[in-house]
Amino acid sequence: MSSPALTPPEAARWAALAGLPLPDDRHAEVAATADHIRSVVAVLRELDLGDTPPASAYRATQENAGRTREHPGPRNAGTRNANTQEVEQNDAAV
Amino acid sequence: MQPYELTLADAAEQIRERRLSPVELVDSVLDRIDRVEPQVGAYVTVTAEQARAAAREAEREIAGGHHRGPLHGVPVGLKDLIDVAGLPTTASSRVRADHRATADSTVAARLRAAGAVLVGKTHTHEFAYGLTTPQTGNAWDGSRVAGGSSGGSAVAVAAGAATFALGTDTGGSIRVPAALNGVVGLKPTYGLVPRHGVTSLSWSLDHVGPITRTVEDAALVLTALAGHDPRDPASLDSPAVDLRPQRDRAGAADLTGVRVGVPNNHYFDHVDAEVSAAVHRAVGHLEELGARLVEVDIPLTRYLQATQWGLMVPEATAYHERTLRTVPELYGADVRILLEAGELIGAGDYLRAQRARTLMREEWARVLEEVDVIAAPTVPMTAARVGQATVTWPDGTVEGVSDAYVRLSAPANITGVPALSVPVGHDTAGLPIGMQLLGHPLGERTLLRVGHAYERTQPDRALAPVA
Repeated sequence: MSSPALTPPEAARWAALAGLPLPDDRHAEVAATADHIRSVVAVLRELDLGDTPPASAYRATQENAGRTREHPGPRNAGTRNANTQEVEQNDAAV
Repeated sequence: MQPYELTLADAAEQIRERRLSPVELVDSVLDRIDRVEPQVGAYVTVTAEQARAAAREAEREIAGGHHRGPLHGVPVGLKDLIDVAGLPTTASSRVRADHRATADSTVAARLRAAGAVLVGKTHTHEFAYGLTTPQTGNAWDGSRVAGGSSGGSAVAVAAGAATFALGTDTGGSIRVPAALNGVVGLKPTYGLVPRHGVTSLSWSLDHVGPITRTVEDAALVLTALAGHDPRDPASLDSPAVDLRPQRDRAGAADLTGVRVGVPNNHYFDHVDAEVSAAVHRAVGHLEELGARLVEVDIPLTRYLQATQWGLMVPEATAYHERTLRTVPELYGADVRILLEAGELIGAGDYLRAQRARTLMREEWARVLEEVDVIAAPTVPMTAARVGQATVTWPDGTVEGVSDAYVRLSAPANITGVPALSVPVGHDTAGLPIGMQLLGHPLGERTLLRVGHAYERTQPDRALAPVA
């Protein structure tokens, strides 16, 4: 399951491709750390994952009441649990 | 007994019966902070003035007949990843030097609504990306690590510098410092406690939960925190329940019929002999209380670390994408290198970890059909010396200290099952040992019942001998 080790110039190039220019003095350390992480996660290649889907929190039906919401949905989400309404209260001690 | 020494449940009872004023309790805890903070360094910020004002307000409300519940007037420390309106959320990092939260996180708002009094923000390992919390000393021995990443919260509770605290847990960051400092830590079911307004380390694995002196206290806090919030996409839409165990009723310590799983593999491998012995003794107590012990085999253990890292490393790097490019020099060296290296982990590795997580959930569900809880050590060894990098096990295996601390706690983050760390004694060096109880998803009630029953077999625990 081992894959070829990253050389420091390769680490620098990969990071640059990801949009992260690395100072010269960090190439070797980043290469070594990334190699270690890659060697740990590479063990997962042993698994026959077949049709297993990724674990995911995404649900198309769930209202997102966060600040990125473009179109406010119905107000019923806040009534599903009394605690949700407590979030709006800022009148006590903490 | 001084007010700062009270458990949350005892303080709540005295406040409700008006035998103790929130002002007395908060003043006592603030005095205690002044006394122990030079030694333990648990707090980033102490909000003494606001706390005293809030305590006076709580006193007025209660005197006027409006008692909000068991947290009303009780001092709390919040890990400094948790937003409180008007305060900085520093994440114990220079990157956040100019930060100021504009709104409360969900958990801070719920504590505020319950009347809890914030006494300060506690230290975390920088951005929760580490297991030691180097700014903070262990409450039992300053030459030992606090554990992390919620080290400040655990030490504050252990030292009497907060009646309770909140932490966050991505691979063990509530349970590890709780175990190393002799207090109770609860990582709830994934999604039970909303994370809105809490700085993320890894969205797939992050949890928020209480750190307390007793299991009963953890139940009181969790009851106030749990419940759906659509602003956290992982938040579960489960009905609110009262998780408080039966405090004084006869039979509360009867565990007849409860099936306690004892792992045959993983959880007792490469574990210090004193830790193993203490946990087995505690499991024996559970059996004496009526529990039936069932041997269980933990599935897919070879893939635990790979799954944890495959999820956490790319997600942490993604969270920090912008600041890693603009102010990389402001990160601590240990965190910066992990964030940079995370740029080199591919989408294939990440998706494989997400798929492995699905497999683990399925396999753990099968194991949990056979038992109600699983009992195991929280961490394989007590608090390491400050600066200690590795541990060498009797078979010659060398393991990083952080890897060792995560090894037994990460499974509950991957699977999302609730996990409770309960103190079960000390080693010969006087350092605390923790037992971990893992339950069914949303099985907090059973978990707390078992933990509470165990505690009732033990004498009351003293605060850590600091100051």
